[in-house]
Amino acid sequence: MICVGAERKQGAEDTDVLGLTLKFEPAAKITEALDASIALVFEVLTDAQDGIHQQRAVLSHDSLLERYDLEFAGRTRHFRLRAELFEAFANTLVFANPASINRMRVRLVLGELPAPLRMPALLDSDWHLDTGWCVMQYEGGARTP
Amino acid sequence: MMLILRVLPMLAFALLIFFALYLAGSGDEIGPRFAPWAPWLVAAAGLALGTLLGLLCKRALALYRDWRQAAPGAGLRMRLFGLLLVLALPPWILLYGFSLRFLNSAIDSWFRVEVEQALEAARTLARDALENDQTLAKDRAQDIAQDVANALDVDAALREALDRTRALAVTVVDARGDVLANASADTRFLFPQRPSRAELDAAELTPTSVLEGEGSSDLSMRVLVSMSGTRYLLAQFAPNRDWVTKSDIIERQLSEYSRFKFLRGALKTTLTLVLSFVLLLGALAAFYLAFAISRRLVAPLTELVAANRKVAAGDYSVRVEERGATELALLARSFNQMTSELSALNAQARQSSDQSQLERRFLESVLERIRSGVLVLEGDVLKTANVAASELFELPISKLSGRKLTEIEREFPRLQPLINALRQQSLTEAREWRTEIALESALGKQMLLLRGAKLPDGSGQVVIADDESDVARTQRESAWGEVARRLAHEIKNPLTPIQLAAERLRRKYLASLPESERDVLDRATDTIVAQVEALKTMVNAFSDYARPPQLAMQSVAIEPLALEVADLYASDPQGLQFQFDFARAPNGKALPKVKADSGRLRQLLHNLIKNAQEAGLEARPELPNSEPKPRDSTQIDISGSLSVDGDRNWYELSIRDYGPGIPDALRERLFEPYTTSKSKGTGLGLAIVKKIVEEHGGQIRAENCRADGLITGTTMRVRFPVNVL
Repeated sequence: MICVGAERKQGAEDTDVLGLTLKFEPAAKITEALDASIALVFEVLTDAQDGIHQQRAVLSHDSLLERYDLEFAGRTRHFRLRAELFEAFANTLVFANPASINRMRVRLVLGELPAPLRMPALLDSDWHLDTGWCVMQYEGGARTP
Repeated sequence: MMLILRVLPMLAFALLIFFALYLAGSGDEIGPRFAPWAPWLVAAAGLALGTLLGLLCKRALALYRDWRQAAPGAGLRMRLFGLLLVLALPPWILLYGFSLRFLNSAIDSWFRVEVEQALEAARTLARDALENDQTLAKDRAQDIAQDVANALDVDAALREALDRTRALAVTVVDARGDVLANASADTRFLFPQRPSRAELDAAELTPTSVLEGEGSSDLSMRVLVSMSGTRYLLAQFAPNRDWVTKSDIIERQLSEYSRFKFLRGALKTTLTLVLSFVLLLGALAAFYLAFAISRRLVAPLTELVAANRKVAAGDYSVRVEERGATELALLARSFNQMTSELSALNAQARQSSDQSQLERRFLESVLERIRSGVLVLEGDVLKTANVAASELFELPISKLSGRKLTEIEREFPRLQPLINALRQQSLTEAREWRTEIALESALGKQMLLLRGAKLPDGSGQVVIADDESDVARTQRESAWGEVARRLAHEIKNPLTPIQLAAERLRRKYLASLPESERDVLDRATDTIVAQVEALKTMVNAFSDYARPPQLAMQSVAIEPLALEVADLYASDPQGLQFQFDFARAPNGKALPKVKADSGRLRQLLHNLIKNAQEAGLEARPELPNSEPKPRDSTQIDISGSLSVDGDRNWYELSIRDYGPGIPDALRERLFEPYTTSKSKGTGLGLAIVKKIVEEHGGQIRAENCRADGLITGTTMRVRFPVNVL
């Protein structure tokens, strides 16, 4: 998982937001885990001028309704297909006050995985989904990684 | 450092136990709380494990090293350690193997195919039921659509359909999805969601039905039916609650099953890891306990062994702590009692030894101060001797201690009379004995009085030796002194009247006598006068010998005095030749002066030179009288030098002649009056010389000079003490 780019967008109520684009192609074992109703909890960190902010993005699957859910910033979105979920996750991370953000980071929280999976995940690099700190560079009024 | 080494294993154990708890955590307690620290926790656990293993290896190496170096208690500790491991490890390995097998089989048993098939079948049934429900909903939606299509009042038709079909909401939308008419029995659908183009296209072909909602409690069936190609009916129906609830339960169970099925491998790995880790921790704890127990058990014995070694090295003050098991405490108590008794005995022995040393030193001190020589013999071995014995026998007798008499005799043949006497007396039964022996020494024959006593236990004897030579000599000298004094007194007085009477007779009657008798009187009176003169000379000599010393001591340089006296003889018609050789002092100057009476020294030189002159004139015994005298017979060598003897400095004056030497028969009494080998002389010259030497604290000895085995003359060596070199 890596940062691909960031784009200044028009947010709700005409606010200026920064949309982060990720390259998110998880290994098969992770998609299998998602299909087996194991929620993937991501930690989204933004290093802004007023300090580091932490948010959570949760990817999950509802077998009863046969859909995938993406929960971020207090809002849940539903998708019929897993690919739609992944695409949305890769493009849905938006943040206010883009000019104040210096760095961003998205990583899978292994500690939130079910207990039996934690140690194998810790020892398996496929589970180490972490963009690292993506430094925003100011270009033409917008910051990009 | 020791504290750290003690605390470190405990910390490592605590950390590892916490890590094991973390691994085994169900996800409700420890796990989430420390989730962000998981990598650090793993790293810390690895470090703790490494530290613990390192410390264990260090202890094992130390034990092995101690065992190789045969350190006290190391062997026992090694055996105990091995025994404890043998006891602990097999159950551990057995438990580990069975636990792993049980764990895997138990987890596998959770995921049986029958269970999965049953769950799948239940899900199919639930879905079929829901689909039936949806099919019914579609049929009802089509009926409503037909009624609404034929109705003039769409709103009324919708309301009537709502009441008739128990739909939650019915809505008519156009081809773009915009709402044309709506009737709702549920507030959630007052503003129905517009169908998408795709939904409308699908509904054009066949009625569609979709379940929607956030959860099973608020599910609804959304049915879309095409009415005429330009209008669509969107109906919301509540699904069968009972079917939905059951389907939800089945779905959740199946979902949970799938979740567990997915986690099966991870679960096995994690539980195997936890089990291995916990059992490894147990094994490490067993190792540690084995170390600690073996050390604790062996500690009293180790202490005892170390204490024993100290005792063996002579340290009797060592004590051990009486602790541990009853038997070990008893052993420690016995050891302490033993060392106490040993200490007391040692103190007594040391006290006795000190006392013995004191007595020995006292005895040695007494022996050192005895003027007599003391020898202690054990059998035929010389055990010890005092300083006086060394001086008496002119030997380092202290160095000969411990040597056999035969060895001493072989090395010093001149001691043969002494050795013979000692051997002879050791064979007698008498407890005390006394005998006299004569030994040759540098100063002549030495008369020794030996007195011996056998030791009470018969192991040896103590011999005391006294030099009787001086006593005898002193007695003789004293007798001669008395004779000389009486001679001088009784003979000297009548000599002058005899001489005067003879001269008077000559003067009175020589002229009146006839020519034939005058010659007789003349010779007779001459003879009387000459003999009186000779007697006077002899009496004066005796007078000199007997005269008590009244010395005027002053610093006298011997060299010029010797030259001066020799000058008197240099003009002698017999043609004496002097050879002088006076050494220099170490500082290059003339030899130091001696404290002496110059007049007496002058007399000493006169006597010695005259003695040498007369000796030179004597015929050598080995040469016939008819043979001419050798040229050097009139030569006299006079030399002076410094010598050191012990801690005293001496001025040594030597006067050598080339005469016949001293006969052996005269050597012992050479310096006594009336001892002479010459045809002329009073025999008092050397006696007076010796007297003068002794008056000045000096020594004199005579040596025969030899060359090629023949006697070539005599050297008289006189030495006077000097204080300054």
